[in-house]
Amino acid sequence: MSLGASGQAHALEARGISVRFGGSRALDGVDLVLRRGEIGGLIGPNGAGKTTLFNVVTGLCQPSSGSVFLDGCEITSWTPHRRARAGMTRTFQRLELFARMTVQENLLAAREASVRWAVFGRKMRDSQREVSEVMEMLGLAPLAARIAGDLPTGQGRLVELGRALCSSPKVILLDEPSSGLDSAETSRLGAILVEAVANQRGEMSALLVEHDMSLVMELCDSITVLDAGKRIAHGSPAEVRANPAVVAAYLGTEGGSSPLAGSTGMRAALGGER
Amino acid sequence: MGVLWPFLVIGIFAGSIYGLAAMGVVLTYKTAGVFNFAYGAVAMFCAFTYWQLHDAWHLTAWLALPLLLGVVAPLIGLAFERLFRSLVGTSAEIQIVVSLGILAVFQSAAPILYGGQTRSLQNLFPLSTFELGSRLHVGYDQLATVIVSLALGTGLWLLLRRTRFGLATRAVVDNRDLAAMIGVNANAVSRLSWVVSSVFAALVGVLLSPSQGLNVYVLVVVVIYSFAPAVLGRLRSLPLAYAGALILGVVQSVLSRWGSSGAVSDIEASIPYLALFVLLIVLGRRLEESGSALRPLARASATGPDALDRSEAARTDPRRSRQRWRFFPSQLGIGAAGLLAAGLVLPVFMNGPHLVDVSSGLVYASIALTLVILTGWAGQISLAQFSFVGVGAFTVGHLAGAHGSNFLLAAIIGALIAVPLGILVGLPSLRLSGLYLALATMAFALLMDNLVFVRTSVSGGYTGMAVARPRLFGVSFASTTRFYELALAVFAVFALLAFIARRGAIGRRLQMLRDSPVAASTLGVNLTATKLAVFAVCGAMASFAGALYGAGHQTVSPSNFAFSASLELLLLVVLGGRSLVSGALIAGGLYAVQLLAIPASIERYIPLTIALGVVNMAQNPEGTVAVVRQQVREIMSVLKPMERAVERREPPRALSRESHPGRMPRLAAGVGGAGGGLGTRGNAGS
Repeated sequence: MSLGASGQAHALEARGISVRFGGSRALDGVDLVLRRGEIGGLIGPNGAGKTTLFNVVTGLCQPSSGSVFLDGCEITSWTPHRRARAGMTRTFQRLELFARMTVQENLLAAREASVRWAVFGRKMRDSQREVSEVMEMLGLAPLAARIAGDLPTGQGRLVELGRALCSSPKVILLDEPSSGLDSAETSRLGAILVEAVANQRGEMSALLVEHDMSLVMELCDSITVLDAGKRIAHGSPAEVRANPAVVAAYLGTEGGSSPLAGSTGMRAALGGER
Repeated sequence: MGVLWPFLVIGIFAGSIYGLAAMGVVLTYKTAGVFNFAYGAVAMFCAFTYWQLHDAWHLTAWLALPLLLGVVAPLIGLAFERLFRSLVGTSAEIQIVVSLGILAVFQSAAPILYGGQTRSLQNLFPLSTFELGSRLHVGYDQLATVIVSLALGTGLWLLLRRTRFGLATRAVVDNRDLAAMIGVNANAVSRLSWVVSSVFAALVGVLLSPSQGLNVYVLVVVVIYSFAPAVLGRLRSLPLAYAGALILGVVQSVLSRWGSSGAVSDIEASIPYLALFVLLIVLGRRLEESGSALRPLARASATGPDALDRSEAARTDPRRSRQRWRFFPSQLGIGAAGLLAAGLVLPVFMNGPHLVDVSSGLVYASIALTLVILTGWAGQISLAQFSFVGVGAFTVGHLAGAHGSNFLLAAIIGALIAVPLGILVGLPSLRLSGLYLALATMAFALLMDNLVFVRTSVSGGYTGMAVARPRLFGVSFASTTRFYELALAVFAVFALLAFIARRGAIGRRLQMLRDSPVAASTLGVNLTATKLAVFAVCGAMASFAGALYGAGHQTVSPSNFAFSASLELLLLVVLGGRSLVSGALIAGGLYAVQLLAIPASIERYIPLTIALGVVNMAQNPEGTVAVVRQQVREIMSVLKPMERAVERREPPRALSRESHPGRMPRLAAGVGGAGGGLGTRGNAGS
């Protein structure tokens, strides 16, 4: 929870985030830290508040208390697009593609929305090169002219990732990138993400919400665990795996009588969060 | 206060009928998820049918009324149900357009079936009055209307609250598929509610016509009054809708005490629209949320079966992808140049009134283009685009001078006036989309009609205002041929600008707004600024084109720019192709066809044909051009040489992943096996 090793501010930090929906607390004083250049994981049973935390961080939902910092700069009251221009972007659990545009247009549009004056002259050519590079890296080049809405989920997730990468982000948030993918597709997605983050040499960090535990344990440098709106653990994959509270939370889901017993009700209350 | 009592009685009477209409509208929205813009037209059509049965064929009311309520109205309801069932899963936009198309079908079919003149319908109930208190006379017809409406309203409410039908309705609204799985007959439920709603409409028609006069327009407008109370009930609550309707009726009636003409009467007529506009903005997001249960259905459209077919042609062909990069594809350039050349040569073969009609068609195409940009590209549905045309036309009428020497300046001023108005119409779009945005823009258009354009000082009143043909840079465009050339030039410039915008960053920005506002905002798009800008720019362009519209018609009156004109524009644009520049040209062509001198015996069928075409668009939401293009592409793909097919089978290029050996080994095994396999498993997860 201290500053990063180099003394710089963290890429992303959230302190004491609370969110109430009606009477129930979706999040209760949650802290979150993402160091520069790392891939962080955010896990927890269904209804733990992961997507809500994402929505707070990206500005789609206002917290009732707490603050969010991007690169040490407080952004709690910023609009989503202002955060995006400052270098934060995300993907969605349920695909939010620009469904009637081609794959290439999806990426180009994202690039243009984040870079000022990307429309003219040299910057326009830069944009087109950048988009081509990202498509090449993700293996999307053969799909460039396809209409995004026609793609199967797996390719759609790649397009969302590509779109996020094209907006030259400092922090990229991925909401369940592997849902709807088979295991081969999932590991490919993981490989691409690792490559993309490594390419930026510490200039880009990623945070992912994920249900696929093996993927999280492999990819992530640090993991935060939420349960029923509270942070119950934070640390390296090995630490988290050994943490008894985490084990209880996950085993508890199957056992039935656990700290999570109330979470079904909360989940219903969160039904409208997206 | 005593003077107000009679107005109160009239208000409750009118409010009761609005209440019936509001409940009918709410019912089908609640149960079938369809907001029926054609509700007033059903009422009108049923009233005409009653007139035919009762007054023309001299059936007694005892026979005519049961026939109407028991046979005609239910049949109309069943037809609606059938039509809209096939639209489940299409976007809200398509449903709106189809129901507006049905409105147009009824409006053009009624005169063909029953004659075009205004009819007077006899009262259903005795007109004699009884005395209430000292000096207050209440008509038996008024009392009976209030009782009938209250009884039906209560009955419907009980039906939804206390019976299995109500329970089934709620199940169907909540989740149609799930309800079907637990044994609720979803189709039967929505059939019944369409029938009830349509019977209510028939009653509204029969009860309102004696006092309002029976013609093609009045009932349609009066029923729009009931949209405000329906929205007050958030399109969910019957009691709230009914109460809102009563309040509306009373407020309107009490206001009419202070004058039946002039400013007070304009305000009185505008109150329902003002209420609708304000309610939509105030309720804003809460309306959207209450409608959210229906939204997932709309998602399916983007990946519908025909969309898949379309992309088959474009699949993984790298040459195609390179083509997309090019700024102005050659075929398109050739096509546009050909059209322009044909346009320039046309005056040689055509002159006089025909050329005037073609000029009007070109001006109309320019106007249609602004709606293509706003609705087709940016996804912001607008039923108020002709109000901006009116702003431009009247501004030029005032400022251009008798010989049109100030025309350009006046047109630019008109465009500038349209900017703040555009921002005003854009305001609801910040919180609303789809149906609610359509309702808000409709309210705006009706407010412009009733508060601004009716003013004689603005528009010259019903006799209209003369607009001079322009004189630009010393050249007069007064002659038919010169004006035609000007119209052609303006459309060519508009179309060229639109093409450039469409292919570039602006076009992409607008489509982001249409396809996923949420993703756009998290990628850095300022939604507020973008939406307001697109409304303002499209308004200004429409106003500029409106200057030419005025000059083309030479005399303009408020009726040129009434809400129904915006409606017709939307229908023609959708029929042409709402997201294509060429769609705007087709819309202009269809408009010109209506004007061209055609034997009168056929002429009256044209609007009907167009309206039926729009209703049929349910199957091809992208419009005529897209259908033709699809046909051509299919034919071409049959004619394609063989080797193309082989080329397609090549696997996509494998990912290069040698660059970061330090991090990769953990995953390498999984990745190796996945090369090119991603996403080949069909649409299972989406």
